[in-house]
Amino acid sequence: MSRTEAKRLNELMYEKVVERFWKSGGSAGREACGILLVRCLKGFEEAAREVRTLLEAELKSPVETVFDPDGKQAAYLLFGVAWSRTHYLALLVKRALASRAPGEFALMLAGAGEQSERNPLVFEKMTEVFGQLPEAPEVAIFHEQDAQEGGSQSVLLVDGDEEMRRYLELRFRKKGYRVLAAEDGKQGLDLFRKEKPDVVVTDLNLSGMDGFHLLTRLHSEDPDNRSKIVVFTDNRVEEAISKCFKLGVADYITRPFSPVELEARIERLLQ
Amino acid sequence: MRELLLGYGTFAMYYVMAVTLIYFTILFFSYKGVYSMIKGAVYSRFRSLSGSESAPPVSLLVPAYNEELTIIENVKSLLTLNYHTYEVIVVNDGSKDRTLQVLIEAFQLVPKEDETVRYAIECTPIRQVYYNPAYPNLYVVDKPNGGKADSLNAGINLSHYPLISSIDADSLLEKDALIRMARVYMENPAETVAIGGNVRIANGCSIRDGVVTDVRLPRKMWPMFQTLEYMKAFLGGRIGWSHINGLIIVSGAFGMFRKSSVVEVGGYRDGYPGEDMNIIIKLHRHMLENKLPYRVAYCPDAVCWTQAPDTYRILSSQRKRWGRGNLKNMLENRDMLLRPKYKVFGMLTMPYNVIFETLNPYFKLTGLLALIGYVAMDMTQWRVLLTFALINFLNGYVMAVGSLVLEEMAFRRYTRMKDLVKMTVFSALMFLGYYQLGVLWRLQGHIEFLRKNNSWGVMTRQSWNQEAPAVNNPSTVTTGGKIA
Repeated sequence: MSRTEAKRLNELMYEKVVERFWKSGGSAGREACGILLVRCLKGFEEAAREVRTLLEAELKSPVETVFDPDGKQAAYLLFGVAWSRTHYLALLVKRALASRAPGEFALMLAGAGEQSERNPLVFEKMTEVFGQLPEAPEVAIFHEQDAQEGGSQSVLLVDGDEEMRRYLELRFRKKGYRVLAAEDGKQGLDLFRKEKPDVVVTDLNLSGMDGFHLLTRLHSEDPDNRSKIVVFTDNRVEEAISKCFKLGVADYITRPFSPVELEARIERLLQ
Repeated sequence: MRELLLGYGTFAMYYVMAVTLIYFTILFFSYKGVYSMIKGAVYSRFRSLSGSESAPPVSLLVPAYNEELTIIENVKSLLTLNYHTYEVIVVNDGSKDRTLQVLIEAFQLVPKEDETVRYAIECTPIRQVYYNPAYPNLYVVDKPNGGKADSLNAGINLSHYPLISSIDADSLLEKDALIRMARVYMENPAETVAIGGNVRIANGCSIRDGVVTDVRLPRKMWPMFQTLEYMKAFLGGRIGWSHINGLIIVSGAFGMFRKSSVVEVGGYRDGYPGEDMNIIIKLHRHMLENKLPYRVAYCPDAVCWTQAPDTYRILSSQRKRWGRGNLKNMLENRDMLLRPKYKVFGMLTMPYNVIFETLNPYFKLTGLLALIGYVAMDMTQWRVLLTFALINFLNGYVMAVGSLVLEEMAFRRYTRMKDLVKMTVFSALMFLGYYQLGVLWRLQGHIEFLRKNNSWGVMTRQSWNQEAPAVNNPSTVTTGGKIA
């Protein structure tokens, strides 16, 4: 199965979602939409028909179906069906397929989140993940967040202030970064070891571990400065700033701050 | 005999009236002080201030004697205060346990050879200074045993910054404590020589990573009484005294000083408990004798959490020590009493302390004897006695509840309704025994003083981790009076 054809399935799915959005006059943008992706290697057409009948009997309404031109995959778009119900339906479908073609099918449960009509990338990612899925009698689950985060650059945020963390997390996410957040030095160090983020944004005033000590530890974990460290703190004392640069930080931003500036500086570091 | 008793009765009535009047005046000043504090705090942005160059650097001095159980947790917590430039100097006062070893192991310390110590004030020579560049704010000093005051002096000699702050090794500071104190200092840096912090009792609270996360009242009786006692002393008393610049003590558990002034008065006095009261008296004396403008301030929102003794034995030993320290300080400085030269301190603080603190047990005792006399000689009726007892109780209770209201107005640390009810009930229960015990302990302290008993008495440490088994090996430790 080639990638170009897989893309076609996602394009078809996206078209259907957009069509539904315009027909409903915009209100569909907020409704839930469960998606079931089915692949069957043997007797695909019959299997697809059976799944459709099963779904329609369960939901008591017609189901929007999209077929992959390749002829082995289908996507069922269940508009207005909540995630939990879709999950239940997926289990029913799994049982039906398991008795029909054991070991010869793949099944994935997904959902089009809010405002998916603006985001064709979600569907692209969805079909890509599904294309790589091995045939197994299991319901794979697709998370939209994975789609957004996968492959992009990562930012580790270490800050004790929950409000600040959430605000910056939101902003960085919108910028397309994968955001990891830690509330104290210890958690920050653990995440750093595990995820090797591209950028670390850290406060000096942390609980559990002193900020300078965290910088020392980060430096010894990563002596080549492969991860850029940005200190983002209230501390405006010259001595502290020079100490930080000696410990190998890439940038030092003091609060009160401009979020635009912070983002611009991070972006420059990532280039 | 009858005349004598009658005369005593009249005198006692005036005594009680005077003390009540003073208490209420001080409480009134406390309310005034808290009011301006609340207003000031609204406009202070402590987070931002904590990173500002205008807040002066501080050296934290932590004397430690046999503190292997709690020291690591405490130092870790002290290293993460919200303040731009400060150092933590732990002074190991020749501990007999592994205090120094656990510090060296936990922070991978190595001897620091290039450190020169200026002996600005007298202290036992320092054996070695330990340091690790990975913890740039931490110094550990090792020296032979010399007592708490001696350890503080050694810490002052090593310290690099203009402000010093003494902290007990069994206490935890809140993250904002230093910056809140520094704010009080910055209001008047030219005149402020010392600032007291608010000491609260951590028994019963949940502590995680050296931070008090859930404030609760102690479950045991002795710490519960002490919680209320501290609250009354700190909020109802100290705020008011500081308002008229008559504060006589800054708690040894948490206080901040201008280093130059402490050096001028020769540092802490050695060889006797009550060094925290002594240093403040010396500062008052020095500034007043040299006719320098000064103030000893109090910062109720800078909070230090400490472990209170939870058994009768340890509590009584602590209180006897305070009694001794108080008597010693009063005798040493009796020349300041009622001398106009010493202004508020000589004319009000000292007489108040002598009459209502130091001599308090004797009035209580003679009062009891007189009472027996009245009953024996049939000079009184139960109605009169009951009236007096009721008035006395109501006075005290209004005072206690007054501090509770202050607490709830300004700080609101105890949020549960159950806790509020419990505090109000216990405030009344204190009249049935606890206050009387306080009098007894003080008296015993005076007796110890006369027998020239000069030790610290017993004190045990518990690990901060509440689940850990309590350690019950009594050991003598250097811990100053928390409220004295």
